[in-house]
Amino acid sequence: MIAARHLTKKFGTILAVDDVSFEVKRGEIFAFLGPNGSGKTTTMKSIVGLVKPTSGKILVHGIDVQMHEKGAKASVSYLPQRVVFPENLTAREILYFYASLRGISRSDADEALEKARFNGFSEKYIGEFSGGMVQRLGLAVISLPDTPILLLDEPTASLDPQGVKRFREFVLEQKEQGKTILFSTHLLAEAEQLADRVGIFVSGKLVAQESVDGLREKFLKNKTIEDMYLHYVETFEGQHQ
Amino acid sequence: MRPWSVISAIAVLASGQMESQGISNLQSLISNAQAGETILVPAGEYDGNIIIDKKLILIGLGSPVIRGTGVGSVITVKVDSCVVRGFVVERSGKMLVDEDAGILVKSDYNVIEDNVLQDVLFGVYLFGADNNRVRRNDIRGRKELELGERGSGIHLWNSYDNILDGNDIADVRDGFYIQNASRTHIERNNVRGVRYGLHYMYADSNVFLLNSFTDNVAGAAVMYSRGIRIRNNAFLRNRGFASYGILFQDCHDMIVDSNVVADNNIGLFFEASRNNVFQHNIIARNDAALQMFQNSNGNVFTENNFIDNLSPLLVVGKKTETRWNRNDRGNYWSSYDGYDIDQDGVGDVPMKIQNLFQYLEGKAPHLRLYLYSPASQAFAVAANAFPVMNINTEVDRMPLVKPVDLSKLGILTLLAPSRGNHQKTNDSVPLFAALPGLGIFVIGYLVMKRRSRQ
Amino acid sequence: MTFSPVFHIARQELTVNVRNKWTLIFAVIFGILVTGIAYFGMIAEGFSGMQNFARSSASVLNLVLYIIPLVSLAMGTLSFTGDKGSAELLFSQPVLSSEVIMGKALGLFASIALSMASGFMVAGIMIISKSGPQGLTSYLAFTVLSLGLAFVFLSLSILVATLARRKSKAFGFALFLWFFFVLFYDILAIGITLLLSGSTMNLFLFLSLFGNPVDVVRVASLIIFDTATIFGPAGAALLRFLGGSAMSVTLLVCALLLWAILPMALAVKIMRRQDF
Repeated sequence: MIAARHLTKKFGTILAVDDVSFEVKRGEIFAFLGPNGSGKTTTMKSIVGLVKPTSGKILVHGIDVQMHEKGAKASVSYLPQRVVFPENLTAREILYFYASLRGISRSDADEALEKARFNGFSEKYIGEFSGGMVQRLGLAVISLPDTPILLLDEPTASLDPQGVKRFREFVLEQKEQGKTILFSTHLLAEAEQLADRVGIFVSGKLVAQESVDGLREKFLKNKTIEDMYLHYVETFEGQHQ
Repeated sequence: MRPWSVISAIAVLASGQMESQGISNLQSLISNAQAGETILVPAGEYDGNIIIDKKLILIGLGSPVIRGTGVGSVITVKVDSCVVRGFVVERSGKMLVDEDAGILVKSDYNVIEDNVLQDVLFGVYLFGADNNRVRRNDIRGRKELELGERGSGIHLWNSYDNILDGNDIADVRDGFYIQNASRTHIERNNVRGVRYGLHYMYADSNVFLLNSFTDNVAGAAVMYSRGIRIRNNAFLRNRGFASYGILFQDCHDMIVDSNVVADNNIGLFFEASRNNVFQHNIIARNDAALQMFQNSNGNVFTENNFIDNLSPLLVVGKKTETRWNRNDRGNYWSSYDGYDIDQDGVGDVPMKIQNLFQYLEGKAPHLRLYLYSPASQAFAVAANAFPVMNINTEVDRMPLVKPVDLSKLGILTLLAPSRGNHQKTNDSVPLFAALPGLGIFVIGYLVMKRRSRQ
Repeated sequence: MTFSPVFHIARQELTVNVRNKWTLIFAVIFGILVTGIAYFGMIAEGFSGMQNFARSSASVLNLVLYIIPLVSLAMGTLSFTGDKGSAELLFSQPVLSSEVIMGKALGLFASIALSMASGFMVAGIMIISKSGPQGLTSYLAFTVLSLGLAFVFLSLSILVATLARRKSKAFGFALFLWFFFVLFYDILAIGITLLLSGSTMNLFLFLSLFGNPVDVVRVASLIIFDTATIFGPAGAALLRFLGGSAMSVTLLVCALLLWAILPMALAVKIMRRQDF
C-alpha cells in the first residue's frame, strides 16, 4: 500500500532522511520507531505531500505522490503530531468541514460524531476542549473518510493513560476493518503491542525493518526488545559521530 | 437729461391694426415712423431681421417675439439714442466673423433692456458703440453647439463708457467678452455654465460690482488691463483641469476687494501681473487658493480670509515679491497653527504659506498627482520638524488669528439663498444614521456570543 | 484547481474570522472612523456647502489608504502563519495548495469586506442623508476600489507569510511593506521625479503610479469622483497619457487586478515547493 524508494530529504545541509526504502502491505500495522529527530516525521510527511523529497519517490496505492499529489492523498488520512483546530469552531463544524473536503455528506459526518460518542460536546467550541477531547476529535476526523490508509504521527505523545488506551482501541478497531496503518512512536511498548512490523529510524536512516517477533528472535532470548532498540541506536549514532 | 429717456412722440399701435397689416411688418412700421417716435409693439410674433436706422423707442408689450431669418443679426441698431425694451429676440445667423447677434449695436447712447435673447450666436454685441446701457437681459446661447462655436453673451469691441447691469447669461462661449473697452461698468450680472464668465482684454479703468460667475470653465480671465476695480463679486465652482476663479494676465494697479472666490480649481491665478491690491476677499475651498508665476511682483494681500484651501499658494518659479500684509495686518489662514499671546489679533508666529510639498510642486507641477498621498503629508510635516528643510520664502508675518468679519459683504446677501440651504441641514441626522449601523454591530456581536455559549 | 474545496475552505475561514473578535473590532473602528471623518468633513464645510460628496470622500480616501493596507496585511499574515498543526491537517487533505490559498484568501477577504462594507454603508447613509444621492454610484465604485485595495494587500500578505513562514518575521516584513507602499515608495518616486526633467520626468511620474497599489487606488478614486481636476494640469496630462478618464480607470483597475493576482500566484508557486 505504501512504498518508499530511496527516499532522501535534506533541509539545507542537514540530512533528515537518508536513502530510506520500505514497504507497508495491505492490512498491516507498521510502526516507525526511533528517537526524536531521527526522520520518522519527515518520512511520514512526505507520504502526504507535506514534505517534498530531495530524491527518491513514494508510492501510495501505486500512485506516485509527487506526480499526483491530490490522487495519492485521497486514499490517506493523516493525523499530525500535534493537531490543532481553530478555537472558535465547534466539533461538528470541524467534522463537517473535513467531510466536505472529502466529498462526504453531513449525515455521514453526524454519524461519525455519534460513533465517537461526542454527543455532549458536538456543539462546543474547540477552545473549551481538553487535550484528550482534541485528540478524540482528531481521530474522528481521520477515520471519517474511511480511507484505506491511516497515518498517525506520534499519536500518543501527549496523552494521558486513558487517551493511550483509547488510541489502542482505535487502532485495533481500524485494523479489524482491514485498514493499513502506519504510526510513529518512541515508545517500544506501543510498537510491540500494536504493530505487525517495526521500522527503526536512527539519524535519518531506516536501520532495520522486521516483524516484532522476527526482531525478537534475531536477538538472543536473554535480551529484551528494549536492549535491541538501544543497541541499534547506539551503534548507528556512534557511526555518525 | 440722459439721452435714452427722451421720448418725443408716441405711436400706439392697436393690436387689431397690427394684425391687419400682417405680422412681418415691423420693419415697414419702423420705416414709416418719424425719428424720435415711440413704438409700442403688442404681443405676437414678428419676422426679423430688423434694422433701426432712425432714433426710435421700441417697446414690447407682453414679450413680443422677433424672429430672425437665421442670417445676420436679428436687430441692428445703427443710430444713437434708441431704446429696445421687452422683446424676445431669437434666431440670429451663424457666422462668428459677421458678429451675428440677437442685438447688434453700432451706435451710442442706446438702451437695450428687459429683453430675452435666445437661439442667438452673440447676445448683445456692442461694435464701436459708446455710452450704451445693456441691462436686465436674459441671454441664452446655443447649447447644442460646442463651446468654441458659440458667441459671447455680451460682446464689446472698441466700445467705451458702457454700463452692463442685471443681465443673466448662460450657455454661451464667454459671458462677457470685452476688448478695447475702457471705463465699462459691470454690475449685478449673473453668468454661469460658460467657458469664461468674463473674457477681458485691453480695457482699463473698469468697475465690476456684485456680479456672480459660477460653474464656468473659468470665472474671469482679465488680461492686459490697468486700474480695474473688482468689488463684491462671487467666483464660484469654476472647475476643470485648468480652471480658476480669476486669471490675471499682465494686469496692474487693480483693486480687488470684498469678493468671494470659492470652490474653484485655482482661486486666483497671476502671470506677469504687478502692484495689485487684494483686500477683504474670502478665498475658500479652492484646490489651490493662489497660483503665481514668479514674474508677478508687488501684489499686496491684506485682511483676506483664506479658508480650507487644499493648497494656499503654488508658486511657479522660485519666489514672488508679494507683500502678505499691509499696515501690520496680514491675512487669516485657516491652516495657521500659531498663537497670539499679546492678544492683538495678530499671530506671534509668522505664517509659512507653503509647505515643502507645495514648494516642490512649484518646481515639478506634475507632482500634484501625489496630492492626498500620505507622502505629501509627510513632506509637510517633515518641513516643520526639520527646519533645515524649510524652504519658505512666502511668509505672512502678520497672520490674523481670527477671520476678518466679512459677513456684511454685499455679495453674500446675493448668495444668501444657496447659503441658507446648506446651513439649515440638521446636524444630528448623521448621528441618527450612524446609530443603526452601530446597533447592527452590537446585535451581531451578542448573537455570536450567544451561539458560542450554547 | 476545482471550485468546491476553495468554497469550503473560504467558508470555514470566513466563519473563523467572523467569530474572531478582531473582525468585529475592525468593523466598529472602521465604521466609526469613516463615519466620523465624513461627519466632521461636513461640519467643516464652508459657508456654501459645495463639493460635499467629493470632499468627504476624499477625506475618507485618506483613511482608506492608511488603514486598509495595514488591516489586510495584519489579518492575512495572522491567518497564513497560523497554527502549524492546523495547516498540516488541512494540507494533508486531497486538496491542492493553490486551492487552500485561494480558499483562505477568499474567506479572509470576505470577512474584511464585511467589516469594510458595514463601515462604508454607515458613512454612505450619512453622506446621502446630508447631501443627497447624487454621488452614490461614484461612492459605490469607490467602495469597490477600496475592497480591491484590501485584496491586493491580502495577496501581498500571503506572499509575505509564505516567504517568512515564522509569524514574528512575517509581521515585521508586513509592517515594512505597509510603510513602504503607504509612504516610502511615494517619497522615493517624488525624489526621483525631481532629479529628472521634461518628458522623462512626466513619463516616470505617470508610470510610477502603477508601481504602487495605494497610488493606483488613490488616483482611480479621484478620477471616479470626478475630482481629478484637483490635480490641475497634471491630472489632464495624466488622463491624456492614459487615454481619457474611462480608459484611465480601466487601466488602473487592470493594474490593481495584476497587483491582486501576481503576489498570490507567486505565493502558490513558492508554496508548492515548500515543506511543512
